[in-house]
Amino acid sequence: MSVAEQVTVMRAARRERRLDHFPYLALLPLTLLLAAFTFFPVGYAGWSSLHELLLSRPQSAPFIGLGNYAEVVASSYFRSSLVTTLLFTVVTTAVTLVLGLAFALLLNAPLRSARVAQVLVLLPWAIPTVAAGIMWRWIFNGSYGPFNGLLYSAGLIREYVPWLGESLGAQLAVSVAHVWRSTPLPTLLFLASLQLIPRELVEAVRIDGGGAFQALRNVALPLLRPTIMIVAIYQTIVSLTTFDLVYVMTGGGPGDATSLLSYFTYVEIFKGLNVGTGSALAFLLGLVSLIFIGAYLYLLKSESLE
Amino acid sequence: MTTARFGSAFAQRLVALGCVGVVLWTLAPIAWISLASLQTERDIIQVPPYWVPRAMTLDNYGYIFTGRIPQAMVSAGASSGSRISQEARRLLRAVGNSFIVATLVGAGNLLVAVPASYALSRFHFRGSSWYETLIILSRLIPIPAIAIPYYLMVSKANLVDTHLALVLIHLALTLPIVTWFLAGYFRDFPRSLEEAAALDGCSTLRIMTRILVPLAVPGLMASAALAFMTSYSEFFFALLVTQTIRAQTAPVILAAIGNNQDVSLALIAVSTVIAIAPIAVITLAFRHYIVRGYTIGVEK
Repeated sequence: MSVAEQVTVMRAARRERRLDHFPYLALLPLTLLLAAFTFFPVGYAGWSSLHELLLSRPQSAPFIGLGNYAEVVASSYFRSSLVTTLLFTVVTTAVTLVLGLAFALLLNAPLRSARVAQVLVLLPWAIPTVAAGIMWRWIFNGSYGPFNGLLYSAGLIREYVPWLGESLGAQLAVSVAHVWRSTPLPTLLFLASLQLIPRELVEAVRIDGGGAFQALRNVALPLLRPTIMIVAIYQTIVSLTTFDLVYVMTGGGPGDATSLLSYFTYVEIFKGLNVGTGSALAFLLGLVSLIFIGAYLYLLKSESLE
Repeated sequence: MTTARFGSAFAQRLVALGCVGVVLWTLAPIAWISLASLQTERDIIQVPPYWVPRAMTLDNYGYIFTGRIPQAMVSAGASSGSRISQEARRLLRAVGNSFIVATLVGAGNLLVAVPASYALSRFHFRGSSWYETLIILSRLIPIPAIAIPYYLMVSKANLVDTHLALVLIHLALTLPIVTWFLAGYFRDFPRSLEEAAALDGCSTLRIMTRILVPLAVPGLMASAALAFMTSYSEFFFALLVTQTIRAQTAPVILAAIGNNQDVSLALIAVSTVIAIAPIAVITLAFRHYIVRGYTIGVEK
């Protein structure tokens, strides 16, 4: 072996050694942060969900097994909150998907108005949810809201309606605000996917005498399927855990009309001072998320097998 | 794919109209509250509203920036809905706090996530495959559930009401997604340059800082921008671990102003505009990077 060759081998060996350490060292800060701020808190929440832990007397927290879960599931609040949350999630996710797709199709057109819209459409997603909540609360306000003003000026109502003071009105208002804030991201993702569709494919449909609708159904939708799935999963999780909007717009009311599970968890812990049942609720909500994700993945798999 | 390309002039006009509709839907709430911020309390509560403002004034902004009470409020006296909120005077400092925290979170994300995602993208080691799954799964937990342990940790470390507490929490919230995104981004990079440098005896650290980082600037900008945006908007933990204007961020103060039953509407409007203006400008300015960051997963 020549000297040069030996040097190369030695360098390679030294590099091997360094490679051994590099990934572990590089991952250390991330792992420490996640351990402190994710694994520990989740473990703590899991522990407290199995104990009777009240903030009013934190010294004693007897182990009660699944008692908290049983208590939560048996309560009428939980059932109504679960139904509200599921309805809210399904409706807003579906509307967001359809709107996002429609927006993307419009914004993909080679027009100046479409290019301007592509930029502005990001705004609802850029601003804090708290600000979005304040704006939509204002719009639906019962004494000065422009939504009332619009209906009033059009002659559809004789006097202003306190939308946020009625169960259905409040639920719809929170849903509209949530859809408004959520639509930009799907729009962005759909736009990116649309721009990847080869022009020849669309032109082939065109040559075969198909219109824009056929192009959408036979070319765009099948190719968009993976993106639709990503958006559906992401949006479902976001909707299931909606908190800020409810906090700012309705405070869970009127009554418990807009007490989504995430807000209900907050009320249990911070108003009811019951960390045990609050944590149990949170884990149930996590379970619901997992069921949804599982269902989507199952759908995706069964479709790809076809 | 385009729908308009095939269409007649009529179809094109229809699509253009649709785009205008999208913009109207997107801007209407922002436009309405911006207009309200330029009007007096009396004009804001008109029934039906003035669709075009009757008169515009900067007095409401004047109060936030200088503390001078708007003339319209002085003359209206203590009558309903004309009240001042002390919180509104803290808004500018809160926006400043938001910027400090968000900037540190953006920078911290790069410092921690770049080596981590480089390691995940280039080296196979024990547990490297489940590590990525685990960090993504960790974001499934509803936020209120981990609030108490977060608060306990922050107070044990004597960090209540500090920027540092928020920076650490926001780092933990954003790092999983940024690391996952960057790992995917680095995997798509050609490795020939790195291999050549390695043959020349360059250390892994040097390869990362001298070769990878300069090439990855767009992805890094996207990551930092996403972390910045998330941190600027985050509300729940900011509410939980701050107590005074030393550390309170824009969403916290904005929610306090907005949820104050007695506060003037004009002040709510001005505060909302001031809280969203900086982040809106930044997002639009960096939109190429941000859009690229979010769409890279779809393009694969």
